[in-house]
Amino acid sequence: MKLKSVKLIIPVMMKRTILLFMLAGLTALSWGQTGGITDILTERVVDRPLTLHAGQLQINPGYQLSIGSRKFDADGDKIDLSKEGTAMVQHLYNLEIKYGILEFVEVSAALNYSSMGVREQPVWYSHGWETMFTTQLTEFKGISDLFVGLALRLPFEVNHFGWRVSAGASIPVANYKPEKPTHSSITLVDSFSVFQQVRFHYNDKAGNGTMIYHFGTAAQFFTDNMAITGWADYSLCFSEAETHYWESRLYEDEFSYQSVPYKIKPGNTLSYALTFDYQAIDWFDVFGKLSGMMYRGGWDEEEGVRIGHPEKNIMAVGFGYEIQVARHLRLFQSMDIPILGKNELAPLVIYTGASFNFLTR
Amino acid sequence: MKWRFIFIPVLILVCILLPMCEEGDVIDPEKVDVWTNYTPQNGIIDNEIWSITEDLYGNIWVGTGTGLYRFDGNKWDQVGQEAYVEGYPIYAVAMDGDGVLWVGSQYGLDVLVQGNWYWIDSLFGYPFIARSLYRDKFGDMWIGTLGSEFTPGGLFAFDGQDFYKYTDPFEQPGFNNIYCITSDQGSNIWVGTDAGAVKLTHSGYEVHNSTNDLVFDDVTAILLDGWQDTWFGTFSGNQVGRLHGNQMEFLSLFHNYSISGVITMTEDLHHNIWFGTGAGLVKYNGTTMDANVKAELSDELIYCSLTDQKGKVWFGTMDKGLFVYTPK
Repeated sequence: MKLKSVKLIIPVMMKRTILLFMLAGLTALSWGQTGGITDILTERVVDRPLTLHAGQLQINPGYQLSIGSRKFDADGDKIDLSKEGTAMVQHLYNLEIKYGILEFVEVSAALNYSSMGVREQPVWYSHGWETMFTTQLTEFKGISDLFVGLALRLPFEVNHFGWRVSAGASIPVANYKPEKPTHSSITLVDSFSVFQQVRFHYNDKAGNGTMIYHFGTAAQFFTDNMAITGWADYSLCFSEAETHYWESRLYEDEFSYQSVPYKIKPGNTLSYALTFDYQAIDWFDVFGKLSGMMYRGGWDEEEGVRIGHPEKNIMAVGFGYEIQVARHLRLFQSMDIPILGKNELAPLVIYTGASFNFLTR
Repeated sequence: MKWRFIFIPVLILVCILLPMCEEGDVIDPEKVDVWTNYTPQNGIIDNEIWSITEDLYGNIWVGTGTGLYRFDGNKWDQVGQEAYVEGYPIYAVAMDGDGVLWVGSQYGLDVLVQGNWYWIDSLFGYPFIARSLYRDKFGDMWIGTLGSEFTPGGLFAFDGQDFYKYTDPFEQPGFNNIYCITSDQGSNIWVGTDAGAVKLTHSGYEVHNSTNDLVFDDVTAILLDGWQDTWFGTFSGNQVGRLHGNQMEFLSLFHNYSISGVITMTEDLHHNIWFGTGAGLVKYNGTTMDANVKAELSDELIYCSLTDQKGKVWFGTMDKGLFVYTPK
């Protein structure tokens, strides 16, 4: 049992060590590279255009912690998961790289690694001398699909106003088929009773299995030390993915599994946010925001029967800050608190990120 | 220059409208994971449901305490008023490979051939009570009957031309009362009788009862599931037997009632097994038995069940009509 634990810990420690080295390296680079840097790299939040400047390279690593303590049901009512005995935690590490090809044209790529666990309510079954206790953990673990995007902004200056359109695609590079579950069962028998404990453990992945296209727009209105930015991103896909789910059967404390193929077509998602920035000091910005997501369409098909996905909505209010730590380094943190929703978990989301900026020309 | 300003709004509009123009055959998610109850208020005159089957064309046929009904997916029609199928319980209903509908009752068989009803009141010289019907994969019809002081009962088959009577062991007491018939992938026929389950093979037969691997003899339901296991439901007791290879295992129904036998079983498209018992419905998901799957059916005698080609699961009750579950 101990050996297993050690094996599990080492890769996690390695990942964290590598990440720390990367961050430290970039930080050292950012402190070291001071000669010939223009003010573009220390531009205040409220002065920044909606795309990067020509030749500007931006590397944005981040970590997001989501803690689900509530969910919204089909009627939009908030349900306390702690009362249901259900909980979710997600650790998401993301890396985004942006580059300004021209003064008004930006390309970007992003990749996430996430680990999410959803623990369901334990259930007791009992009859006479027999008792069964079940728990269920569903894990979603792995890298996401690779996002690549292109953004353009107005190719001329307009006072106090900026506008951007963008397009991109999530390329299905990640594993999306669930791995075989790792359920376990133990039965204890004595003279008077039979007790069986069953642990369901599903191992799902983070990929979509099909190309998803993104179209977005953003607009910004700014003054000397304030900015209001609104953006929306609409994603859709035109083809389905072929995947499977796992059925399990318990026989004398041993599980056997068989995979059942089905098709899935992701629905269309509208993500949006409205952010209000206040530049308190040249190197310190605070912001509040209203953000959300609406999911429509999509279906699963098994044996010729297609069943649509339920509609999902979530809306959250958030706040955060950004600090210009060094010429090349910005740090920011934000927190989002869900306020409205439908058919969706309502996690508290805390995001911590860094932004490394360089000029290549 | 004008075109540039028109292009982007048009693109956004297309993105919004595009998803609305597809997904023609998608079932509304709000219409799944729901139950429908058919009673005298919405289609079936009788609350007493004895038998269900799906024909070759996707129609559902229901045998009640007083007549036969057909559901075409939209509406119910009572059928066979002109024949003998009206006025007494229909124990079994099935369609053979030629599209002939067989209706079993205490007075034998009523057969619907190309719109005309024919009554078969005796087999091999005796009247019979047609308790169970089964169409095998060759389209042949198997007829399970009940023995009484007027009739010897036993097992019969019809291959489209002739009737056949199976003698051994179905002429022995207990084995002549046949409750259910089914087949496995190897084309063996399984027969549930008052004296145990009989597996008919090409070379003979084998019996599973209390003398070897079952607890009780009165086998009222047999199911061959998608995991190649064989399930045995008995009228006595509150457990089900599962034959895995040569090993029999008994699973508790986790039922609130100490005595409630299994009367009917069906497996849905997700390989959940549904047990209709003398006191409610129990769902087995491969690991756990859920006796609270439908509160309205707890304490209810569930006499017949069916999973249709669309994946809907049908349950016939003795007092509350017909229940249909549309799974997720």
